[in-house]
Amino acid sequence: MDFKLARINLSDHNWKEEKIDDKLLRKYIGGRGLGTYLALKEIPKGIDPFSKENKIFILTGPLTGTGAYESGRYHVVGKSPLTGYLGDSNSGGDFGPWLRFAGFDGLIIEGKSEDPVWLRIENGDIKFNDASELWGKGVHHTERIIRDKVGITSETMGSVLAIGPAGENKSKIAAIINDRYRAAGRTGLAAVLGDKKLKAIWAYGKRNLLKEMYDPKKFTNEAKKLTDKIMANPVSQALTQLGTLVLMNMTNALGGLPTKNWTRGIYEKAFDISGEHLAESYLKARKGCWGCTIQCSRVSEVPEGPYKTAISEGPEYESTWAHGANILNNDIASIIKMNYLENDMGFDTISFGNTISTLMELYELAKQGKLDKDKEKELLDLLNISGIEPTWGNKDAVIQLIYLAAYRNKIGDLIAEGAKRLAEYFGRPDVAIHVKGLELPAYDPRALNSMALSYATANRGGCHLRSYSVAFDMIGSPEKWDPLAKDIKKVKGVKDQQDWFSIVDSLVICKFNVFGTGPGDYVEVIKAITGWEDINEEELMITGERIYNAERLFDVQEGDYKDTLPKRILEESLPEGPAKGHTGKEWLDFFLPEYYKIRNWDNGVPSKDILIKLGLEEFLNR
Amino acid sequence: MKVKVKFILDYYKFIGKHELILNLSNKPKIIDLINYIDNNIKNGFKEKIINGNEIKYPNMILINGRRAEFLEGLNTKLNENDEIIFSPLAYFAL
Repeated sequence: MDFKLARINLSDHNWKEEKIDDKLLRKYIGGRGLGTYLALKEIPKGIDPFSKENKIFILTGPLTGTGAYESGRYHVVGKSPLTGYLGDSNSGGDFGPWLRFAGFDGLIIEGKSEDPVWLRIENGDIKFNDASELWGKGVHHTERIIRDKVGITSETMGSVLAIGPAGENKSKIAAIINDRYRAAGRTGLAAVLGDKKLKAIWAYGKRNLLKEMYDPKKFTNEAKKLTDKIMANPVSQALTQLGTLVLMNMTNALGGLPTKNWTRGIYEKAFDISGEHLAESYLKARKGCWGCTIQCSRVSEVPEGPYKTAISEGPEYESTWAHGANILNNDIASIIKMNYLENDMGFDTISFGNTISTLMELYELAKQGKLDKDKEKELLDLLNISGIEPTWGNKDAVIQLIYLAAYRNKIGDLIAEGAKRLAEYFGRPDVAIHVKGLELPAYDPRALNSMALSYATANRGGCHLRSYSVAFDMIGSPEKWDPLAKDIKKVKGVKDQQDWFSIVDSLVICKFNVFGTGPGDYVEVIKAITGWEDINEEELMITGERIYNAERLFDVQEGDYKDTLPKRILEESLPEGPAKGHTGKEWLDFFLPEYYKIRNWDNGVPSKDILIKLGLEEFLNR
Repeated sequence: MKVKVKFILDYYKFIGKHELILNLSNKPKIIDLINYIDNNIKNGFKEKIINGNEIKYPNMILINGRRAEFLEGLNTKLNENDEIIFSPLAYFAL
């Protein structure tokens, strides 16, 4: 299969086309897998993420933009300024397909530009453009200006990827945003683009992917079968109806909705921020990514009042929780506003919300005299000159903090660093809820115990998308697990899901596909696109394992890498609900030794045997 | 005996309320609660959620946050102030 990358050097504003060898592509598939390979190969060990030597790989996969179901995504990989390890993130919308239509299956962004620049990628050509007038502007305005410049204002034609002021100012929790509302949010890679002074990318073209396929007719037939299977699944149908936000009441019922900076698992006002309530109040429509009919995105509008917001996409479940239950805010209108502004400024909403809850707890501790005296004075002084009093549920303070953090002004300079660094700065690292520097999403592992293993062993840090074992614990899919049972079979379930999700992110398709389909369902589609006639389910799963181990190798070679949970989750039990009395330590101590055993890892480090078995020996002495 | 009952998603629409406090006779089980709702609140509820002695997939019944299947199914006994949730499905969220 022909897989074309553009190597873009921002230092001298040059680019060249490179092809990925077919055998190499088969070994890493594309997207996250190929990005991990390139990172191991091209990012030197131990560098500062803001060094010129760091690179950003923006990659699609063999399925992107083909019309195979939910294939409108792309993946970004680079060294994370937030975690210090390999960072990666995935986004939907339209950018992935349009990048391929523009003539490239991926981009290698290297070097640093002297001045702000934006790239115009069209029909196999790349032009460097001065972005001085865009620098400092929000994502929405940036997209509008670029569309004016290229003369294509229809949002169904072409796509803009951009960073906001947060990325420009190297906030470690900055998100890459495409199509205004879709974010490659996690691990702060937008800050690396900001450091390289790359403001935006426009992609448009007329490349016909069907013509490049090995067997277009077979692809059409197999893709239809896949679509039928996915849409027959009740979860797919439900997502169309209700979107992701509908999970709020259910997580709360299970006692696993993190509340007040993870000190509780039940929020008594959860209904106010639930999908049911949104549907009755501000929901305007539904929207899907390119080529997807599930349309899980919500389109909302706050037509009047202090949180008046234009029609915009969101908020999703994670964003709503992070700005709702976790900071004790039950005003859905204010959350819609926060979500809109954070997209515009270019923040990861999960990380931002967690950082705010960290600040609120630090403020409470300062008022109670529980911080070191010097630090207490510094925090209160900083908040005073910022004009902010971050009490629990103070939604107006959050809105001010979005701008302050985006421009690194006053207290915002510390918010822009993320929860871990903020809490460490004020001498209370225990207040930040993160794994390996990445703030946790909206499932408390004390109440959904397989997530203790999922979070602790997620290569990129606290993440629910390396393994979404909540699917077993809450949905009963593909099988029903008791979320509080010490059942050793969960370990293999998490490990297999991590490997399978590595493939999902490499093909690159949406994780909503995984309900009702497994690796075997994709084999014929992959054959039809690539011509890899003898590929099978077993090879796919080994490839997933290879990718997971390759990521882990990058991370452990950086040093000081440990699979664990935040101190609060490990040691403090939930005070109420079905999981009352349980700690994260109880679960992790049970699962982790077995996990290392089946991974063939020594205390988190892949053994030489497994690395050789998976064909990763070239990186042993990187 | 009082119990709190919450209805999620399709059940919220079907019943028209998110939450009800119900007075049940002594020592009721989940199946008794379902019968009570079917007879006194909204006819057709029982048919939506169970089939004989089985909870219809992918419906979910939670008693104080614990799934009925991991307790005693439809024979799970209820106690004063228990919180019961009926959901047609739990959902995947990214």
